[in-house]
Parts: sequence; structure tokens; C-alpha cells
Amino acid sequence: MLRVENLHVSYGKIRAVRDVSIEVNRGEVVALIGPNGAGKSTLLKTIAGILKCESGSVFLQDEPIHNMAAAEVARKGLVMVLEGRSTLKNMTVIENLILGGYMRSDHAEIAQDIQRMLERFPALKARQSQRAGTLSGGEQQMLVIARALISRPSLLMLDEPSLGLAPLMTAEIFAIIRELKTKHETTILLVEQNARQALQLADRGYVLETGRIVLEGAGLADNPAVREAYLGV
Amino acid sequence: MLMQQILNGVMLGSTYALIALGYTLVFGVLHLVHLAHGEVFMIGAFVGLQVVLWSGGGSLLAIVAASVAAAVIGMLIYLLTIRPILARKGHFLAPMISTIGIGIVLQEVATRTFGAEQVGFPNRLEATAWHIGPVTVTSVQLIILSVSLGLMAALHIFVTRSRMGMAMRAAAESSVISHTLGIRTDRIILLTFAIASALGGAAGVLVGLSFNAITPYMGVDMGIKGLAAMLLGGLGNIYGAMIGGMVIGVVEVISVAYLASSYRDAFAFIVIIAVLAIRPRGIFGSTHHVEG
Ligand SMILES: Nc1ncnc2c1ncn2[C@@H]1O[C@H](COP(=O)(O)OP(=O)(O)OP(=O)(O)O)[C@@H](O)[C@H]1O
Ligand SMILES: [Mg+2]
Repeated sequence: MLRVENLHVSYGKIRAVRDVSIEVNRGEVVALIGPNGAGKSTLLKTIAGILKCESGSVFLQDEPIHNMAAAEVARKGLVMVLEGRSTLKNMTVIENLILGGYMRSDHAEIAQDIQRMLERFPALKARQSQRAGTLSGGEQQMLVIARALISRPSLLMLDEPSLGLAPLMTAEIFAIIRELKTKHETTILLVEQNARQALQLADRGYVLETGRIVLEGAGLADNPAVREAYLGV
Repeated sequence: MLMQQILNGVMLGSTYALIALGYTLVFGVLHLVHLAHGEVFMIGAFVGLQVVLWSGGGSLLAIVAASVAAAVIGMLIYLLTIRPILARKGHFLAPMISTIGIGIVLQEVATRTFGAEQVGFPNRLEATAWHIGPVTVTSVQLIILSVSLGLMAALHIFVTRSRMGMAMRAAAESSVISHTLGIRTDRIILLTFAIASALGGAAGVLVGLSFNAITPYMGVDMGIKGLAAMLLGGLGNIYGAMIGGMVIGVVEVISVAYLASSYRDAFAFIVIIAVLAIRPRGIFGSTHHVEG
């Protein structure tokens, strides 16, 4: 479904992603873990078309997308949830959700999807007409995930959805991702600091360190190097 | 007396508000002060005048024609003089300087075409006046008020009820988040210029109607008033622009009525400076747009 080949990305002289090749197959949940500053967000943003790569290629269903504008990549079904609370803070909860359906034109079904999300996330339902900026961090994270799901992505990329959340909220976020995987067979590329839970949930994983993929495969949670560096055992 | 002055002030202020909305919409999506906007307003007034003269049509036709013409000019200004400069990622002031340039060009084109003299702006409205208690409303005033308030209401409905309008607010808040939602911000920006300029063009005709005269230089004064109204209301905030315009209009008219008329602008700007000294971000301003 998604194929990244020999990708290089730099910020001026800083080389943030070096010769990265990864793959995500349909229906898979793939985890990408690595220390701070490893280049995880950079990689995701480049795949999403937000950053331009120096060299290498990105294919979505065998179509090259590395020269496409970010809005066009999203319209191809590859939707990214940015790091941090990427709600539209001056807009209401419901407006955020409506814009999740911006790429679709089946208005009746969008309305149904929005209703379904409000049922699934009662906290959002209670705060429908509140400005998103007034929600708590966890609620905002729910909102961006719900908003992304309303766009019905063929591939969803989540950049640290549990960042800065209390354990209970983190568990809730992982429950949602698990639900997406089992119930809806959504294809997901997940970046997480929370390596244990991410690897547990994912079908496969990649470890990114200083811009390079250093380990990959299924069962990374059992790999001694990963256990020592990321799982603290 | 006071009621009458307030009504007159609101009428004048509503045209300021229309102009201020143009600045604030463009500022919202591009963080750019569009300094040719006053000239877009002026061209709108002249297009409206030509339509009235040639077709013998009424004021409403003139307003529609002026809005369309201004929208086209506004989009061309963006496509030809702003976007190419933004694409080169030069100094942040470069696109603003470019808008000053195109403003001067528009002024000179208007001077060559229509002459530097003030020209009369006829209206074919019956000069009816209604007396409601102590207040007198003329048909021209009624048109100006209903058109400007109607346009503001329409803009409010557009940005809060339509997906396109929400996308415009999203683009103003964060282009990166907008892109992840599939919003093509380049098109939204173009649409923003069209709407901003159309409001300015309509305001041009309304000002022509209320002062009965237009000149190629009218964009300078009115542009500054519009800019001030935007600042007063809060950069990038459309409701701020509406309120800011009204406040300046009312203060101006009341200062003429009760103080010295030769100080009308000075007094209006003293009030603006006072308000900004107390609330530097304007009445509705947030830190958001200022800090980007
Ligand atoms: N806008 C930028 N300009 C310059 N350097 C940047 C920029 N963004 C990131 N970098 C650098 O690129 C490298 C990779 O950053 P990136 O944000 O991709 O890391 P990350 O793996 O997502 O880290 P974290 O886990 O902290 O989110 C870092 O060294 C960072 O300092
Ligand atoms: Mg990151």
C-alpha cells in the first residue's frame, strides 16, 4: 500500500532522514519507534507531502506521491495526524469534525459519520459547540483522531497520539487504535514514544535512530536490543 | 440629535467595516497587509459609476458590477503581484511592498482613464426620507445600511455555515493542518482575495452614493480608515473589523457634530490610539495571529 524507497530529507545542513526504506501493507498496523530527534516526525511529514524530500521516492498504491502537494496527498487517502494537539483551536468541535469530511462529497453519510464519532466519543458530544482550544489535551487528541477518521483514510499516519497524556487517556487512545485495527481493518503507520504498547499492538515495527532504520520486523518486542533501549527491561 | 448622529455614524462606519473586512480576510490567510486594497475599493467605485452612467441602471446593479470587477482585480493582484513573490520566500516585507506598487499603478491608471478631478456620482433613487421619531432616514442611507449590513450577515453565514467558509477559517488558522484535511489552501487564498475585493468594490459604490463624488485618490484615505478599523477590531478577526469600522464611523460623525469638523480624522485616530494603548491587540484580537 505504502512504499518508501531510499528517502533522504534535510533541514538545510541537518540531515534528518537518511536512506530510509519502509513499507506498509493493506490492513497492517506498523509501529515506528525511536528516540527523540531520530527523525520520526520528519519521515511522516515527508510521506504526507508536508516536507519535500531531497531524494528517494514514496509510492501510495504504486503511484509516486513524493512530488505532490500535501493537500493532494491527503486527497489520495493518505491522512496524517500531526504531532501535538493539532485541532483547529479557534473553531468549534463540530466544525473540526465537519472539516474532517472536507474531501468527501457524500453529505448525508458525512453527517452520519459525524454522529457516529460523537456517540463513540461522549466527551466530544458534550462539547460540540465549544472552541476546540478549550478542550483538555486528551479531548483534543480524541478530536483530531475522530476528525481524521471522518475523512475515511485508506492509510492513517499517527504521530505520537499519546504524547503528554495521563495513563488513563493513553490507554483510551490505544484502545481506539486497537479498535480501528480489529473492527475496521484500517491501515495505520503509528509513531510512538510508548514503545511497549505500540509494539504490542502493531503487526510489525521499525526502529529509527539518527535518521536511519536500524531494526525492523515482527516481534521487535522480543529483540534484546529493543528491550534494553526502548522497553527498559 | 444624538440618535441621528449615531445612525449617520453607523452608516459611515458600515462602509469602513466593509473595507476593513477585506484587509482582515487577507491578513487572516496570508498574514499580509494588502496595501492595494484601498485602490481596489476606488476602482470599484469607478466601475459602479460607469455602470450607472452607461446603462442607466440603478444603484444595486452598480454594486453588483463593482463587486465582480473588484473581485477580478483582487484575484489578479494576488496571482500576478503577491503569489510569485511569496513563492520566492524573500523578505517578509517584499509582498507588502509589492501591494504598495500595484496600488500606485491602479491609482495612475484611474487618473489617466477618468481624470484626476473629483467626479459626481449620480443616483437615480427617489429622494424619499422617512421620519422615525427624532431620526430621519433617506433612501440612500437605507440602501447603504441594508447593503453593508446584508453583506456582513452573508459573510458571517458563509464562514460559519458553509464548508468552504470553514475551510477559509481553517486556512487562516493553520495551513499545515488544513493541508492534512485536504484543503487546497492556494485556492482558498484566491477565493479570499475575491471575497475581500468584492466587499471593497461594493463599499466603493456605497461611498460614492453617500458622498455623491469619487476621485482616483479616495482609496488612500478610505484605505487608512479601513486599516485602522481592522487594527482596532483585532488583526484577522472579521467581527472585530465590523465593530472597529462602526466605532470609527460613529466617533468621526459625533466629533464633527459636537467638536470641530476640521479635526474629524484626528479625533477618530486619537480614539484608535487610545484603544490600542489599552488593548494592543485590538478589541477582539488574540495573540494567535500576531504571533503567527
Ligand atoms: N524545522 C526544523 N528545522 C531544523 N531542524 C529540524 C526541524 N525539525 C526537526 N529538525 C531536526 O531534525 C531531526 C529530526 O527531528 P524530528 O522532529 O523528525 O524527530 P522525532 O523523531 O520526531 O523526535 P520526537 O520524538 O522528539 O518528536 C532533529 O535533529 C531535529 O532537531
Ligand atoms: Mg516527532
